[in-house]
Amino acid sequence: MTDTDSERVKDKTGRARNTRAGGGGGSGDPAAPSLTTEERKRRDRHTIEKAELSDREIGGIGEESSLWSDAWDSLKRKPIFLVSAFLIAVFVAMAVAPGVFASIPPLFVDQTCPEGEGGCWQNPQYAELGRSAESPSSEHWFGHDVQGRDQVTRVVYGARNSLTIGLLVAGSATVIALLLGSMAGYFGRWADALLSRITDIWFVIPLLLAGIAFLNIVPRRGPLQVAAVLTAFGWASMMRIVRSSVISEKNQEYVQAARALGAGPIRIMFRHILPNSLAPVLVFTTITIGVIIGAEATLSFLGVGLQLPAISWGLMVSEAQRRVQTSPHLLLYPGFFVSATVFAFILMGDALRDALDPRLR
Amino acid sequence: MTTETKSRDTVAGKPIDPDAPLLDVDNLSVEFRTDKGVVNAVNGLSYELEAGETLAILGESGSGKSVNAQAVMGIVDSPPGFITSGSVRLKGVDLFDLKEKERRQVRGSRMSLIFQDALTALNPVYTVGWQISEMLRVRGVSKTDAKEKAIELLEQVGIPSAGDRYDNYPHEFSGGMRQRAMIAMSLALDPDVVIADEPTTALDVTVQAQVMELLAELQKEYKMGMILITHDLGVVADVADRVVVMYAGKEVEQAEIFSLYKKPFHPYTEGLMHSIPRADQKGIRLEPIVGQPPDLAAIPPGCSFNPRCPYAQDVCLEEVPAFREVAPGRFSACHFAEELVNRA
Amino acid sequence: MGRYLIRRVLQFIPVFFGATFIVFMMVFLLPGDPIRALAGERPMAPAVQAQLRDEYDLDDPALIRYGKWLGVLPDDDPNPRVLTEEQRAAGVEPPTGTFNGLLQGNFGENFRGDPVSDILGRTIPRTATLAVYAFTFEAILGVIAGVFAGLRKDSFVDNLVRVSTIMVISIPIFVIGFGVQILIIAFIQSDAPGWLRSLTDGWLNISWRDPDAPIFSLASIKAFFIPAIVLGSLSLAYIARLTRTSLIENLRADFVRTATAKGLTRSRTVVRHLLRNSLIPVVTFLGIDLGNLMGGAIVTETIFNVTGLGWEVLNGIRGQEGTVVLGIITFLIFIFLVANLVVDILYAYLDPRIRYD
Repeated sequence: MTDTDSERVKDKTGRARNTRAGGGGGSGDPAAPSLTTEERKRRDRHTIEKAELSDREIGGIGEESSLWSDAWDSLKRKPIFLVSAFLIAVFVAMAVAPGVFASIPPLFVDQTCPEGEGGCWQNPQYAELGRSAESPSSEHWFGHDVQGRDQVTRVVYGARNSLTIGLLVAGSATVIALLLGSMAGYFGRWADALLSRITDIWFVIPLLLAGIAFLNIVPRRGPLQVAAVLTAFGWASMMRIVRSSVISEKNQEYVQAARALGAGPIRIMFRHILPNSLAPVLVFTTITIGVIIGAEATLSFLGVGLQLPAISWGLMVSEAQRRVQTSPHLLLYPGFFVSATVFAFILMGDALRDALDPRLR
Repeated sequence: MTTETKSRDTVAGKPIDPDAPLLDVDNLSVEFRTDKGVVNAVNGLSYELEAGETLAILGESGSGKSVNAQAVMGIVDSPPGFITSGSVRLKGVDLFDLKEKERRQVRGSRMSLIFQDALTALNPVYTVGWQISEMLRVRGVSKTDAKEKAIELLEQVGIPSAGDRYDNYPHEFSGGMRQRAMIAMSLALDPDVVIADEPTTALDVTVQAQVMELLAELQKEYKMGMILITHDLGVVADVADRVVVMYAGKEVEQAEIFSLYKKPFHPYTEGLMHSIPRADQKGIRLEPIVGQPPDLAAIPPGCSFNPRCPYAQDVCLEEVPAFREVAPGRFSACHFAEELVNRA
Repeated sequence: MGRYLIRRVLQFIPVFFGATFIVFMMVFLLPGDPIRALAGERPMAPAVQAQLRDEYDLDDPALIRYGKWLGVLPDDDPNPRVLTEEQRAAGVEPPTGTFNGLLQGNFGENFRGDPVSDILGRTIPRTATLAVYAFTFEAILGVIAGVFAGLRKDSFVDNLVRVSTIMVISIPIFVIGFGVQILIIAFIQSDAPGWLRSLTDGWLNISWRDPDAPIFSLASIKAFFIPAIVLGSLSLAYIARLTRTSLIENLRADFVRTATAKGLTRSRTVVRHLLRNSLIPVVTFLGIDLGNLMGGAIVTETIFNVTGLGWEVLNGIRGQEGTVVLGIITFLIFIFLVANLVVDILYAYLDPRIRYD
């Protein structure tokens, strides 16, 4: 009977978190349903273990230390992981050295180019108005934009801003979330109540709307400004994940054992709880990179993200939207690239979740 | 007892063999095909059950005893589980030959299963009463009759004020009461065979005895055959007539309960008996069985018990010992069973 | 339950005020001079400017303005526009010192003097119509796809659902929107029979047709068909995935095994035991999503020219109409909180293990 009671309490708190985590603001929040299932899984884990075979040799949950190495072993063989890792590597390479990709295909020598030798098409700002919105050709695979710039070059150079903002926001949101979430989860009581309420307040403000309203008053919007605003309104859901993850680890017996052995709160936090609650955070961070890249593109598309002359996939679509009827290629290539980048990170998150969740293995 | 006419002369419409044992499991093998390889959960298991008899299947976790129960019921998850050989005959009718629809008629009404943990085995979102009467309703019993019968069953398994309890959810029952409700559900259609899969493992010790007692009573009252799956030698002693000891998916010893208790003829059974305290052997040091239960994905060649066996010889590493009658009414699968018999 | 509800509502209050305060601060940090923007090219006397500034409380500290907007501080210098023509003609002075804010049901007015509540009243039905269609679409298709995938894990259908949902989740809504537009244009320009092509009339520019056609009428279905699919696509993918995972989890649960062991038919086991339990998280997600769709419609409305809430909020931001933006976001936050409350109640109803004291 006592068992049942504690189950029920867990249910209740677990669910209370779920319901609010389910709503991810205007831009959507891919981890929201996964969070729900993630927590349900945690809750139901013992049930499912029994359901497996009630015999320990089929996929019993391993030790935490072998979780990461097991995860790596299974990741190496997963095509989903390999595909997403490859895509991410390509996009990172584009961001780091766009010049290399911008010369694909090798552009033929254009005599009219003032800088000669055809190299000028590799400059993302080089424009020939006469070639405005030209269709793709064998020399210019993606055609030209409205200003007559080469779209391969534009699209390649767009990777840098997207990835910078995605990594910056996911990284800083994770740091904030780890800080606040572990404090709330570990100390509980009033610290938890206070931090959770503050998080609630930030959580109910829709990310996209807040981004629009706030960025609109920022006069000059570079990657840093956009990243700052997205971080400000994007950390709340991550904080909840950290908090619930820390709470569930805190109640594990090994933590109580460490405490019984006289370990202080800081040691328990950093040596025991955090390393073990990192798995869901890692998954969520990876997915967040993708979500933020999509959000940046959306804000730029709406005209409140990056500003010209910055190169951004969202801006490219925005510039081209009036030509949707006549020159769809202007929208398709930047649209495809932003989608592929987001896809790579979300797919990676999915692969990580599969590998790090012992239950599904 | 129910409005459904249940013929005692047929099983799922097939004529029964009046001379056949109630339940005859022969050479049953079940394997699980997982990413990490094939797990041989049950390897050529055979046993019989007579009407009115209680057969205990004894083994540690990992011996395949629960999978055996699921295979007999026909509810092994497939994939990953596959029945690779053998037959299960109910009154001579081979259940593996039946179509899924016919098989369904057997489940619940001719044989039923009591799960280990009633908390997870009962659906959390329906009331206990609803779940019991559901068994009757899907077989054409009217709603009111089904409810009446369900309350009657709840009373029979000793649930106080059953009429009120009918509308409770599983989580509102205590552990013991939940298991009683589970038992009531398994009896709803008066089955010929009841398989109880570790029915008391999830319960407090004091409640365990009550539930076992209830099971024994009901078994006599309903005159059914009961298979009691357990890892607990103590439970076996009180209620079982016969015992099948399982190790690594196979039977290693079979005997009448008292005969087995007097002198086991397999080193594994011997080890089991030495590892539990007994009131009649005070002062004797307990000896745990050395080593780990076998990995069913890599069962050792020869006798699967050889890595842990104190008597192991070269022959045990190579030859699979035959399961044979080593003394009247005594079966064992040990190369040296006869020596154990003679030493007795 | 009642007590629990009261506690939840009490919890909402600080969250609501905290969130609206943050948005309020954000919106009224808007740079530029809205009065000058209002005057446009015409010269405006400094006295008139000062009066307008005063009317709109532009010179008060932010916290005071928030208090007045909320209606917890008295409005000492109310807008004469609250009076009707007749009252103004009769020389009635605008009432001073009254509490006249959000708590009194007053969302304020924009710089042209239109009450924000009128704007809300005009735009909410459109966005709500769009959201209801999107919701219907995503709920039906999402659950069906999830069930088919979950029942046959690792089958072709399952892999198809898994990959396609990740793709849908990855593609930003504005790209999906334009992708659909490009497809429709290609279709209109194609050789398809004329009657088939005529079915797509107005799909690209719906708001100029009949934005206020009664909901569920043929005209409104036709007008909102494509935008609703675009708007619902993201949640559709989530719902399919959530249904699938939930189903797979429960498929191995003991109680499903029990249902089989009871001799129930496969279909009864699946519908009454497996689905009934697996859909609990899906239903709760749907509840919250209904609140989210309203705010999520901003991009869809922009692309498809639906003059709803999202369209209005973007316009408001461009025109520095702080009160309009604030009013709409406040409304959305309120809807979001209410949706959460409804989901809590729904959850307790669906899962008897959850009971509140």
